[in-house]
Amino acid sequence: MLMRKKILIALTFLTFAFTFAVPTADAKGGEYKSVVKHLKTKYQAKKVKIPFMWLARFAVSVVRPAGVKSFSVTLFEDLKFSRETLDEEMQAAMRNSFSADWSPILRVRSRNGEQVYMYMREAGKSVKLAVVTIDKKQAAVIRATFSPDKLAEFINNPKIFGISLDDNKQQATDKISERKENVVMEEKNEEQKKDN
Amino acid sequence: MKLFNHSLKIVLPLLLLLLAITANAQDARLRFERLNALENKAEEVVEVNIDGKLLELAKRVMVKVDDPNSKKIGQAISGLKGIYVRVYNFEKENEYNVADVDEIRLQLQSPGWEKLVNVRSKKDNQKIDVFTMFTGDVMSGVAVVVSESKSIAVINVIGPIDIDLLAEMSGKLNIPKIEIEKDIKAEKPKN
Repeated sequence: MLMRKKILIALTFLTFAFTFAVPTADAKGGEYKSVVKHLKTKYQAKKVKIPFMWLARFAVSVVRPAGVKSFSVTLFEDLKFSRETLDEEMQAAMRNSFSADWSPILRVRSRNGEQVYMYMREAGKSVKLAVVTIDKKQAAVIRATFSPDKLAEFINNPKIFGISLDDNKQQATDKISERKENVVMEEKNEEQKKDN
Repeated sequence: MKLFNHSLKIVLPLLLLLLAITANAQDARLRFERLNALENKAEEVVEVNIDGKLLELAKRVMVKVDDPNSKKIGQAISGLKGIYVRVYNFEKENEYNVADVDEIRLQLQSPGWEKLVNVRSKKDNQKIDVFTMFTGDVMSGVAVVVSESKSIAVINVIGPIDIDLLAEMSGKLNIPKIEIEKDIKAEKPKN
């Protein structure tokens, strides 16, 4: 009996560990790590801790809002770079980090130190998106995997855990339930009147 | 046999040259390499490359969304092969070399391209050129070149574009409204 209990506990732990491990491995691809490493080493950037990030990532991997399967966000501050060479260095770093499967979609470069790089690639039925933004002394590296089909479904019917995010639909649902309640109340009142 | 070989030596390169010219003439993709020279001079650079996979993705999402306007956009972009944008903003006036932009305009002089709009304004030294390329009756590309004293923008759209559908969609789903000025005299009622 005790053995069974132990196995059950172990299995529960294993299931939890697996649930956490899968999105982490999926989200932190080689290219993501490579860009993060470049920012850390080349510009001596300091990583900013985001509280409850693990919880947000776990929630997204379970709920999958708007078709988002997994995501990673890493924030940096105190970047030390030369404005003249930043874009060139970043372009080279991005080219070295991302394989030919990735397509560079967007690049914005400003002389005052604002840079945006966006890459995208297909992965089966999913799409992987990577964004690197540098704003003066701060930087963010974002990576997300989402399903375009699920995104379309979400646009059609924006629901998370069965709760509609569409104001119009929500209002319509509220009105229907309100009407139903009114009908029930009226029926009850009529029954009471008859009884009296 | 010797004559045949000799003829082949002349005909083959000619054929290859012709093929290259035809292929080049039918390709609506502009070469942006010359614009790279502006990179270091520009205060701000924006580069957008939307092609193949991303367009397919956009179509897939647009078609699946239960909204007639989205479906129309999906239909309008269904044949598109690529959208490429380059924007360069400069701090000072005339900081860039006009020859760099003129090289793009020169590419649009090649066979296949037809000038649709040509605007020249003294205000900010503005020059707007819109070119289209047709393959048969189907529009296979659009190129827009806008240059001002402090900025340059080049837009290149490749693939068939349903202009009527786009005009119908103007003002919807964040597509800029296309306002066509009507002739006031023509609209005046006859007394």
